[in-house]
Amino acid sequence: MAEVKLENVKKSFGEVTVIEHLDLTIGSGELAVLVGPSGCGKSTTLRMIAGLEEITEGTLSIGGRVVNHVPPKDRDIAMVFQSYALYPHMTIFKNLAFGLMLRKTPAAEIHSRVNDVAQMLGLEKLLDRKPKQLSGGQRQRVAMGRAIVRRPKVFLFDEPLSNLDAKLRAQMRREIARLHREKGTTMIYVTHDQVEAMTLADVIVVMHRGRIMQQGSPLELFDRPANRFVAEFIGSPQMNILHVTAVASGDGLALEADGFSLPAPGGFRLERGQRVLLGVRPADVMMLGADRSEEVAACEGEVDVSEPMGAEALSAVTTPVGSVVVREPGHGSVALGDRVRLGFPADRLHLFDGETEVSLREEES
Amino acid sequence: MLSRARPHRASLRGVVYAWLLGAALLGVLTLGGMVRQRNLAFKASNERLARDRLESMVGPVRESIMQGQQGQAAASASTGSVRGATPRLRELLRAEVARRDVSQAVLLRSDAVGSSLPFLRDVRVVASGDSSLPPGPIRGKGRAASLSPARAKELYDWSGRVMELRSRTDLRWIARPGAPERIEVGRRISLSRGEFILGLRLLPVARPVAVPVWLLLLLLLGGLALPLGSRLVTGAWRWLASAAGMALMAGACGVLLAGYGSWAARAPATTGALGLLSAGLRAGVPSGGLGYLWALCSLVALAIPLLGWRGTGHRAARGLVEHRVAAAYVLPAGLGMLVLVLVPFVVGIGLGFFNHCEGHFEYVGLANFTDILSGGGTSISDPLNFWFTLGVTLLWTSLNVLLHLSIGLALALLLKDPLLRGKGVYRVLLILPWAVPNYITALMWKGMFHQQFGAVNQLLGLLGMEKVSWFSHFWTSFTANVVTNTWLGFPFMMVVTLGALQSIPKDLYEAAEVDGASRWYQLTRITLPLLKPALLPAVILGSIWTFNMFNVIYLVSSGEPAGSTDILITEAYRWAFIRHERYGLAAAYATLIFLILLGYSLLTNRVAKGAEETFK
Amino acid sequence: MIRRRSPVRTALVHALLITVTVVTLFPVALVVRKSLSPGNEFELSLNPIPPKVTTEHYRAVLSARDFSGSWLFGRQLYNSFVVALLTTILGVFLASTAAYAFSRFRFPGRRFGMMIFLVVQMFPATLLMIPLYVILDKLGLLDTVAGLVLVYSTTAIPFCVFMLKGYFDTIPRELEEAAWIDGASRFGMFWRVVLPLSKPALAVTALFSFMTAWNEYILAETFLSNEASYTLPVMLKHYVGDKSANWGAFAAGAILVSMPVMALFYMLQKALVSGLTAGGVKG
Repeated sequence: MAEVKLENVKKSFGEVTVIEHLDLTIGSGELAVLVGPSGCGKSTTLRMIAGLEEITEGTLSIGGRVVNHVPPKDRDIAMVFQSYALYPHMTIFKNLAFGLMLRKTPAAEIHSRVNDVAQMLGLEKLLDRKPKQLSGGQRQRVAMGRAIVRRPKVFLFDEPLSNLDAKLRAQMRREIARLHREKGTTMIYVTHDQVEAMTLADVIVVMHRGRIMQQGSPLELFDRPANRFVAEFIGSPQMNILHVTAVASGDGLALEADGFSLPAPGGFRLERGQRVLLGVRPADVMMLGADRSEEVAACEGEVDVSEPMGAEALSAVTTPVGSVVVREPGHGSVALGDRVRLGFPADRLHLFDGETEVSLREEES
Repeated sequence: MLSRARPHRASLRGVVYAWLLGAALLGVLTLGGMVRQRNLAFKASNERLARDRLESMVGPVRESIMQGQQGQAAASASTGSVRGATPRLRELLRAEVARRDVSQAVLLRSDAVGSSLPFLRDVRVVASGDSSLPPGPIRGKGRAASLSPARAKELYDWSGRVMELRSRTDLRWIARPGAPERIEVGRRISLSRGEFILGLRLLPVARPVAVPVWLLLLLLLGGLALPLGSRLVTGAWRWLASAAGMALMAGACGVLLAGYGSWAARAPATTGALGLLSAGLRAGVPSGGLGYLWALCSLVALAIPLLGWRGTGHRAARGLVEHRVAAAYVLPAGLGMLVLVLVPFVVGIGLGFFNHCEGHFEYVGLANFTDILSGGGTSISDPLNFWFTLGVTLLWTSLNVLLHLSIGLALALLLKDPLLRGKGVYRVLLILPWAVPNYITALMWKGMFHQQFGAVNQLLGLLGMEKVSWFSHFWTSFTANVVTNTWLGFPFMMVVTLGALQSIPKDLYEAAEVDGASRWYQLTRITLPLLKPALLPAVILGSIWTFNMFNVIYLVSSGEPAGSTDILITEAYRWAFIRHERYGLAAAYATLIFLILLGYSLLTNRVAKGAEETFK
Repeated sequence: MIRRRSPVRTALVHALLITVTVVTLFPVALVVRKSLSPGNEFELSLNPIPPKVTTEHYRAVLSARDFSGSWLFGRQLYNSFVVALLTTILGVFLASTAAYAFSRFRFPGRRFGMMIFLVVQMFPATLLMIPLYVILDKLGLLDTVAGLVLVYSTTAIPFCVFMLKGYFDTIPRELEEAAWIDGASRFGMFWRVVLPLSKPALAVTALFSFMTAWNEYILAETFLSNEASYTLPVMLKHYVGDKSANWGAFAAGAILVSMPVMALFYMLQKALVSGLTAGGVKG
C-alpha cells in the first residue's frame, strides 16, 4: 500500500519541456488511470514514476519516501509494458521468476510464488514455453504475472491492452479490475482509450500537452467536465460544441448565434456579451419533429448523415451554428434529408468560456 | 516520443568493469613485451640452442678467420676485453674505440655490409682504404631498399648473430631492432681470407639527460587539471589557477618540442613498463622531421583543451562524468582502435608529407602529392604514372563489379524458380569460391595460369590454340587477374541477389501476370527496379573491396609485365616495401586512395538515399 | 503462383547451371587432385581424377620440421588457431560493448565516433602496415601472437561494431527497461538480456573475426619473421615462393587450411550476407 505523490514535477528532454509543474496525488490503493491523446505526457509521467526517466525538477514520492534518485529496482514497483517486454530467450517460468531471481529470493519461494501466480492467471501449462509460442492474450497474462509475482507496492500499466483485439481487451480489463479488487494495491494505468479509463478507474487523470486537465471519478468527469478538452475527450460520440454569445433577453440572458437561440441555463457564471462554447452530448440533444411546439427548439437543420446501428442511431444535422451529432435510441426517427428542429435540455448543457475554454459552471457548495 | 535519455545512476560497476578491461588490454601489451623478452633471454640461456644457431650462422665466418689467421679467432671486441684477436686487430679496434669515444666495436663481414643491411641505413664510411668505397654515406644502391620489413629484420637478426659471438648480453640488445643505436663502419680490414669491415656500435659513452616520463606526465596532468579545477573556486583564485595551468601546459609543450628531437632520438631503450610506455610515446619517432611532426601533433592535442579551457575543456570533462557509463562501454574498443587503427591512420596520412630516405624522414610538404599527381616526370603510358595506374584501377574495379553483378544476377534469377529441382545443391556448390580464403584462390589461379603447366593453357591446347604466356603482356595479365577475381567474387552478389529477390512480394508478379505483362517486361519493370535498393549497398561494398583487392593483384600477376597491371594499392605497397622504401610516397598514395573511396562512398550514399526515397 | 514449364526450358536451365557449377568447381578440383597426386608441378592434364593417389604431400606438410627438429606444422597450426581464437574473443567482446554504447546511449561524439569507425575502413589496411610495424616493434610485439591478435581484432572491430549495433537497434528497449525494473543492474541488462538475444549476430561477428584472422596473409607475412611463429597462410605462401614452387605441398596445405574455415562459412553464411549488406554501408 503506498501513496504516489508528484509535486511540481517538470520533465524536459534537452531544450524541449514535455511536462511542466505537474502536481498529482494518487491515494493508497487507488486505481488511477492517466488518459489523454498521444504525446500528452501520460507515458512520460508513468516512466518517471517507474524511474525509467529522470525527473528534471520537483519531487516524486512513493509511500512517503522521496524516490527521485532511487533506481527503478529499489522503488518497489512493477510495470506492465505495452509490448509486454517478455524476455524472448527465457521460458515463461524464467520470465516470471527473473525479478525474484535477481533479488536472490530462495529457490523454493520462487517456485511457490511463480506457481501461485501461474495458477491465478491460468498459465500453469505454459510455464515451459517461450513467449514466441504464446498467443497475444497469453503473453499479456504473462506480462501481468511478472508484475504480480513481485508483490510490489505499486503496479504500473503502460497501455497494456492496446495490442489485443476488442473481445480479449474487454476480458483482460475485467481481470485487471478483479486483480485490483483482490490485491487492493495502488495501480497507475496509462491509456489513450477513454472507455478503458471510464470502466476501470477509481480516479481518472486527463492530461493534455503535459498538463493535468482534470482529475476525478469517471462520472464526475462525464457529468461535470472542467474544460472543453475534457468534455470532448470523455464520452463517445464526442460532445457537440457550438460557438454562441450570451446576450440579454428579457430579464435574463440568452445564448444566441445566427439562427440559434436558447435561454441561458442556470448554474453558470455568465456575463452579457460573453463568447461562450455550448457543449451538449449527442445523446442529450432532442430531435423535434415539425409537429412539436416551437418553444424548446434552439435551431433548425437538415439531416446530413444518418447512421442507424440497431440499438441506437446517430445523425448529423447541419445547422447554422455547425454540424450537430444526435444520438437516438432504437432505430431513430429521422431520415436523410429531413428538416428537423433540435432541442437542448437546460439541465444537460455544459458552458465553457469562449477564450479560456474553462467551464463556467458555478461551484456547488 | 523524444529520445529516451536514461538516468545513469549507480552504475559504478560498469565503470570498474571498463577499467578492468582497459587494464587487461594494457596488461596484454606489457605481458606480450615481457614474454617476448623473457623468451629471448631464455633462448640466450639455452646454451645448446644458442650455440647451434650461432655455429650455423657464424661458423663459416669464424672458420675463415681461423684459417686465414691461424687461430686468431675473435672477430670483434668490446671495450677492454678484446679476446683472441690478432694483435693488429685488437690494436685497431682499441684505437678506434678510443678515438671515437664509443663503447663497443664489432667486426662485420664485408659481404654483410655489401648487401647493405637495412639497419645500417646510417652507415657512414669514415675511412676507407679502398677507393671503391668512397667516404661518405653509403647509398642504398637499390638492394637494401628492396627488402621487405620482414626480410630486413631477418637480416638484422642475422647480423646480430655475428655479434652474438662475444657475449650473451648482446642478445638482449638485439631484441630491440630499430633501437636508436647506430652502427658505423669504421675501417676496412683485409684479412687473407676475405675482407672485413670494422663496425663500431655507437653506444654513447655519456647518456644525454632524458626527460623523465613522470615529469612530463605531471606537467600535462597538472596543466589539464588546473583549468578544469578552477571552476570550483571563484574570483582571483580562478584566474591564478588557470594561469598556472596554462603555464604548465606551455611548459609541457616546450619540453615535448625540445625533447622529441633529442631525447626521443637518443634516450636508451629501457625495459619494463616504463620502457614500454616511453617506447609507446616514441613509437615511430626516430628523430628529425617525423619527431617534429609528432611534437606538432601533441601540440595540437594540447591546444584543444588549452584553447577552450573554460568552455570546451570543462564541458568535455563534465560530459565525460555525465556519460561515464557510455564512456566505460566504448573505452575498451576505443582504446584498441586508437592505438592500432587511428594512430597508424594519422601517422599514415602524416607520412604522406615526408620523404623517407635511408632512415631519415624529411618534411617535404605537398611534394609527394604533386609528384604523384603530376606523374613524376613519367609519361601517361608509363606504368609508374599515377594516372595510368588509376586508369587500370578504375578499369579493374568497374569490370569486376560488372562481371560480379551480371553473373551473380543471372545465376540468382535462374535459381529463383521455385520449381527448379536441386537448387539448394547448386547454391551450396556455387558459393564455394567465397568460402575459399582469397590468398589461396589467388595462388591457385596463379598456378592455373602457369605458362607451361597451367590448366588454362592446357585447355587452350586442347582447343587447338597456342599456349599463352599470360604474364608477359598487359591484356593477358590483366585478364588473368580479372578472371581470378570474378571467380572469387560472383557468389557474394549471387547470394545478395537471391536474398533480395525473396523480399519482392509475389503479388506484384501476379498483378503483372493479370495485366498480361511478358516475362521480359516483368524482369525489367518489376524485378530489376525493386532489386536496386538492395543491390546498391552490395555494389558499393563490392567496389570498395575490389578497389583495394591487394591479394589478387599481388599474388596473381604481381603487376607483371613491368608493373603495368598494378592497381593503386599494390603500387603503393611497392613504393613502400620494394622500391627504395619510399614510405612517404606510399603514404601519399594511400591517402589518395582513401580520398577517392571516401568521395565515392559519399556520392553513392547520396544516390542510395535518393533511390531509397523513391521507393518509400 | 504455379506455372508449368516446358521440359526443354527446364533442361536448358539445368544445363546452364551445371556448366557454371563445373567451371566454378574445376579449379578446386584441380587443387584436390594435385594434393593427392605425386610431383611438385601442375601436370599436363585436365582430368580432375588423380592418376595415382598418394598422401605424400599431406604427410610432407603435416610433418614439416625446422632445422632444430621442432614440429613446424603443429606449431603453425597452433599459432593460427590461437591467433584466430583470441582475435574472435577479443574482437567480439570489444565490439559488443562498443556497439551497445552506440546503440543505447546518447553521448557527445557518438555520431562522430560512428563516422570514424566507418571512414577508417576505407583507408587501405595494407598501408597501415608501415606505422603498425613500427608501433608493434616499439611495443615489443613483433613476431608474437599478442601482436597479431591486437592488430586483427582492431581491424575487425569496425565491421563488427556496425553489424552488432544494427542488431542491437532491433532489440526493443522495453526489454531492458523491464529487466531494470525487475532488478537488473545496467551491466545485467546487457549481459542477461541483450547478449543472449543477440546470439545470431554474435555468431556472425565471431565467424567474421575468426575468418579475418585465419585467412589474413600480408600482415602476418610482414610482422612475422620466425618460421616457428608463422601462421598457416604465411607457411602456405612460402611453399610457392619465388625461387621454388612446391605445388603439391601447397595444394595439400591449402586444403588443410581451408577446411575449418569453409566449414564455419557454410554454417553461418546466410547470416553473414544480411549482416554485410545491412551493416556495411548504411551504418
